[in-house]
Amino acid sequence: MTMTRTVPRRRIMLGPAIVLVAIVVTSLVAWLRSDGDDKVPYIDPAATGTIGLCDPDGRQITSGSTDSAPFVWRAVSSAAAPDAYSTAGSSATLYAFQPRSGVEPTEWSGQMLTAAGRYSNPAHPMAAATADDIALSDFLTAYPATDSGFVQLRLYLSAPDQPPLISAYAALDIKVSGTSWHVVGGTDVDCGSGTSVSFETQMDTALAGDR
Amino acid sequence: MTRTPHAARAGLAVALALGLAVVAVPSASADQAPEPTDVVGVGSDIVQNTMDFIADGDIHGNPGYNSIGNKNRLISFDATADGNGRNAFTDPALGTAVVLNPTITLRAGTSPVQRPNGGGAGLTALVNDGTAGVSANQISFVRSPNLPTAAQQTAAQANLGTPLHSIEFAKDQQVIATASTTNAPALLSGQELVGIYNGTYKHWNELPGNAAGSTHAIIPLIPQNGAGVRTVFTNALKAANSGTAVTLAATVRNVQQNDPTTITGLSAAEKPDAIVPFPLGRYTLLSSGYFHDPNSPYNAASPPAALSAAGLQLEATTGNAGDGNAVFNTTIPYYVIFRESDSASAAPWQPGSTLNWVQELFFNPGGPTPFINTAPVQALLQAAGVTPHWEDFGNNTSG
Repeated sequence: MTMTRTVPRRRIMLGPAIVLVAIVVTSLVAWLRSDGDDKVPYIDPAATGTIGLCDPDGRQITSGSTDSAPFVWRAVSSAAAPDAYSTAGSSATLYAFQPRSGVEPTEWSGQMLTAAGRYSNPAHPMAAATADDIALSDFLTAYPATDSGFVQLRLYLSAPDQPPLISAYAALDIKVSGTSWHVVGGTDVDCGSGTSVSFETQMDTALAGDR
Repeated sequence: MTRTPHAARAGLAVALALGLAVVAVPSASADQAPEPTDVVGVGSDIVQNTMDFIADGDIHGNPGYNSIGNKNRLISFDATADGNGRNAFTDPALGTAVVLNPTITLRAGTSPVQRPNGGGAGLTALVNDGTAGVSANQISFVRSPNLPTAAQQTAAQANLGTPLHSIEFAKDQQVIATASTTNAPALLSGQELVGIYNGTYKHWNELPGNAAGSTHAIIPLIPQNGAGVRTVFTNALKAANSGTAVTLAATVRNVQQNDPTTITGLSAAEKPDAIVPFPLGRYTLLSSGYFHDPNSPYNAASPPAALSAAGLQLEATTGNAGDGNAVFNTTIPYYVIFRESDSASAAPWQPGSTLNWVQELFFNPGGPTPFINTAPVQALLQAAGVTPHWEDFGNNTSG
């Protein structure tokens, strides 16, 4: 007599399910350990390019101290300026904005980090800072990074006799932890792809010429 | 069943529609009016352009506070109804034109009120923005070239329940302006101006050391009552007169402050003999091409020509006049004056911020630099022809 042993259907499905759960849990733990803390908790549809940050030697940097003043020396857009902002005298200004959970990016509050910088290369508009510009910590005192430590940087373009272009801009997310910050996302840029002269430097030069 | 006649129903529908239209019509308003949480300033003509740039940026692409796009805005009502800084007048077709009292709507949903024309008028409006110690908070701050008087501080305490607090953010210079072709000596001292404005010197050749000068009558002009720069000038005359206030001669004409046409608009016969105290900053702005010809309609393809300071010249700021005294040249401080209670408010201004509006914009001891004293704003001020200078004056008063 041949006995046929029937394996319960539940047991047949349990094995693969355990394996699947193990894979998911392992992946989740790995994700949380790697960049889970750096996951940007918002999407800004107006961000049409990204920004690279540069040190005084023209090297791209991805981290720094919130107490450094200026915050960075140059901010370079990965996206080209529209025609109306590619004219002589066009300039770019770096801003910091405070993401707030559940609030649209258009409603976030912000501050200027630099004056307008006249850029030479509309393919990569850039803002320039001076030693008189503020540190990120000044911004954070007024606008704490309450949304998982994130701050959004924006590069607004302007041109003579034109309103500032604030409906579309290059943006970069940075994450603050204690007195340090680091870039989340972004891309490589060439800090020397053009020049940018801060309006503060322009005025100092003009007044020095008057003296 | 009774049926309503067709015509009657149509009439009813029209009546209902009209009724709804009456109910739904929005309240009429002229220019945009600030929201309750916007910061609103009024006052001085001479300080107005720099504050406009601080709020909204300049024409060269340099941003101002509102360029950030924050929810609450900095709104600074000009002293004059005209963007070129000229006075408004009644329609000459209705009779002799007289100076109009233009109005502004301080806050959305409120009636228009008289536009304060000058720092003095602005301070008067601020100290009356409340009663019995309770502020109405329609006006947040005043632009002025003068600190509040002791009487205004007393009125502020009584009406608003708080003293006024002042900070200075820039310095301008007041010098004497003439027509490009003038009978005035190249340098006039404060003491000579005392003699001109009190009527002692009526003709150019009566000035010390100027016997060979023109025999024409001098036409002394002075900014209108309520103008802060008039107070700056009369205070300078008082100082040059050993501390005694100067009684103005009947020949002194009141004119719109800081307006080049007060001289360039005179007849060819009068132009060479007119003098007026004029701010260096406004002259710089005129020379920069900021103002355009107001007689040409707006046309994006063919913009009106830029105005200039042509026809007007400023006397030198250094050297000695014919009487041996230093040439007239006095400082015009640019003050922002606000309720002291606002600087201590625990209510953050912008969403997500830790700062109240005074801390964010003007005065923040021990905290991040207020916007008006940041390096980008200092560059804006320099471009406007004034010298950035931030200083706290607390509850100080002026005479």
